[in-house]
Amino acid sequence: MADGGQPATLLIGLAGQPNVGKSTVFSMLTGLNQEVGNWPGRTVERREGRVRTPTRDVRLVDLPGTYSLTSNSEEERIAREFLIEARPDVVIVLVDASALERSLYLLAEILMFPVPVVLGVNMLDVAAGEGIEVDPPVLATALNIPVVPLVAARNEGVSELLAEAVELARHPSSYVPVRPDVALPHRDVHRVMTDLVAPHVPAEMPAGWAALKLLEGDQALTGSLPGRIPEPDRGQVQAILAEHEDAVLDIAGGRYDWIGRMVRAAVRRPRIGQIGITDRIDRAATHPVWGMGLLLLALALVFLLTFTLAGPVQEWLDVHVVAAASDWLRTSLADAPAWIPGLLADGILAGAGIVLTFVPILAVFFLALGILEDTGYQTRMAYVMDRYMHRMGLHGKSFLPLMLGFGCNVPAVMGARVIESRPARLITILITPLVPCSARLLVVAFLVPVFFPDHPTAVALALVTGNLLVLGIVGIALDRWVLKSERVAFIMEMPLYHMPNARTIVLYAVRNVRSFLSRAATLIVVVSAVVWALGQFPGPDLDSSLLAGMGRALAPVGDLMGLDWQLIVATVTGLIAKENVLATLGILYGSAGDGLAGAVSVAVSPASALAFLVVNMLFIPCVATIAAIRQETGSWLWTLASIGLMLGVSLIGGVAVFQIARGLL
Amino acid sequence: MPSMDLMNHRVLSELAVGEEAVVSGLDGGGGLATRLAAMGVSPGARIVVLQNRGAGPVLARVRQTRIALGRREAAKIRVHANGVQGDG
Repeated sequence: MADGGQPATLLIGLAGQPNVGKSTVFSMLTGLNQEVGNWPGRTVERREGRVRTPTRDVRLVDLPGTYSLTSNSEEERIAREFLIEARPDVVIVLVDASALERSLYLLAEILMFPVPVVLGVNMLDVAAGEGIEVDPPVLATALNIPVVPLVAARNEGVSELLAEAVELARHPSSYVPVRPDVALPHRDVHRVMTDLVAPHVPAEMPAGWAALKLLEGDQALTGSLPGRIPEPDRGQVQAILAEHEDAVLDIAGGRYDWIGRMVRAAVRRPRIGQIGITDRIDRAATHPVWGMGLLLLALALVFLLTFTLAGPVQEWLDVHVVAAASDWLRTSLADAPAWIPGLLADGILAGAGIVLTFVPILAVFFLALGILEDTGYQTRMAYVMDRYMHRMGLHGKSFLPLMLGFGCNVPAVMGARVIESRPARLITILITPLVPCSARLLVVAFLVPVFFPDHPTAVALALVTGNLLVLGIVGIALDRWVLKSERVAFIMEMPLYHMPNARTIVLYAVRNVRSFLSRAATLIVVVSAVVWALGQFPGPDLDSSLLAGMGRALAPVGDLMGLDWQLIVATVTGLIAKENVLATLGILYGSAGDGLAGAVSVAVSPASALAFLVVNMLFIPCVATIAAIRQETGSWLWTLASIGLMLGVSLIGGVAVFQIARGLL
Repeated sequence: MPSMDLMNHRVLSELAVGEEAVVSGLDGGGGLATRLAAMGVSPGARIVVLQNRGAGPVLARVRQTRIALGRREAAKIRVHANGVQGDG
């Protein structure tokens, strides 16, 4: 922090509770000049951007949205470590004017740090719509810190907010905020505790804040801090903590009392709480019956939209891009040895084609989910599903990643990050591959009418229902006997409904499609090339290849399920990506396109066909999902457990269905 | 206010849809209490039940925000009848 002389780059943190419009403000300020990565050693996304202002250059760091700074979650630990260790020049705290008291709670905590704070009061338009009037200058006088009014969604006040922060950085000594105190019954206890810990806290950590966190039972600090305190004092600290377990409520009470005093003169609200549109919609949307109906309707719409909009695009890409490129490769490489165009066209290009043709489906699916998220409806889905998720030791929030899984299991596995406890997150990750992704749904949509021309819809529905039933059974079993998750609390804010913002939705879709591309694309192309090679070597044709050999080696297992070696090989190549199942069947049964339908329906009995479909619905989704599971669990053991689980479930499912169907059909 | 008035003491999950009350205490340990307090559920706060059916979760409005609470969590929020405490 060199004052005078060359102005160095300022480090400014952007903090706030969830749903206060923080990401909007961040995007408005940084535009495209932002780097997205992870916080070091964490699975939480870190966004940093550079902004030029007339006087100084700014590094703006978007802190994770947190309700407080107690170490209940990864996000909270990151936010507080930033305040303690990164030593920002200024912190911008953003609050929601329509829920001012609640969102000021985080400010009450951050003011305990020596970092100068600028307060941004956002969503003044939403507050006005609810009849709430906020007077920012009066609030600034009460708090004695700069307060900037904003409507970030309309880009009003955003650059003023940053200018105010830069200005405050020039005069940090002028910063003397009005800080909250602990409510009376425990105020002296806090004083004593502060004096006890002050000589022993790490240099950058404010002693008053550390004392508060100890009294609040903060896990990270109660674990680490007492150990640093020498004996006579340590005993006293432990004794105070044991005696004053109830201090938590007085600390929170003190903060809300302080908030009440700060906003008393600055906020006017309607005398009678009017029933807003959100509460009116929620009467139906959170109802166990009507809410469930709405949820199913919303999901049905998402799928309808996905397959009607993206289906034709996918076919067009397949014919006009992938097939055309393949033809072009073959003609232009006609003189080269046969394996070169083979590897390029059937190995690499086929893999790349899968990735390419899959993008429109995922894009539309995630745009649709983005709308559900941005309107605020997604949290209602979690609410409605909570009572069912409990049976698996999970709660409503686990439904959200599972829903992503219908599009692609890769972002779904990554989406399990929203779940706070590790056992619950592991259960969610382990059952995610049982959600039929759009690739598997495509295979079903193609093959079911071929095998069962009389009842295609009923069979397809039965397959999807079967998967979800297995998902439920596996989830309950995992919870009961393996992970025994410790009943994590379900506490979730449900934001106001609002009109979706196109930019936010597109960013949401781009993020999820990108996670599929970055994790899956290379893997699919490489494995596709490897499988092509296995199918060629040692030649002369597929029938005598290593691939066929592998299929035949698995024949005894296949026999139990009524699968011949071609169907086994098709299932195994589906490991790359589920669409491969169709391509492989085409090669193995010696015909592609419509011809495949005829050839397969003759060669495969109905019982075998059903078993084949069940096995493919339950089998390991694809290598990309496995890679995502490895990354998110951080453990090969759990990754292998997941693979073993899928193999076991699909084997049991395949054998059971074949043996039963053979008797009936 | 060490209010030990056993009259009117109930827990949030027992309130019917539309009922309003004032939070009087939080059970279930520091971890849950700090999370709830940071989301606005702290002693003295007015709370209105917006949805509460069967064995499902509870939806409540507190300090101008809507909070979904699992049934077990809602059972750890002690409340007393509206109007007992004047603070708003």
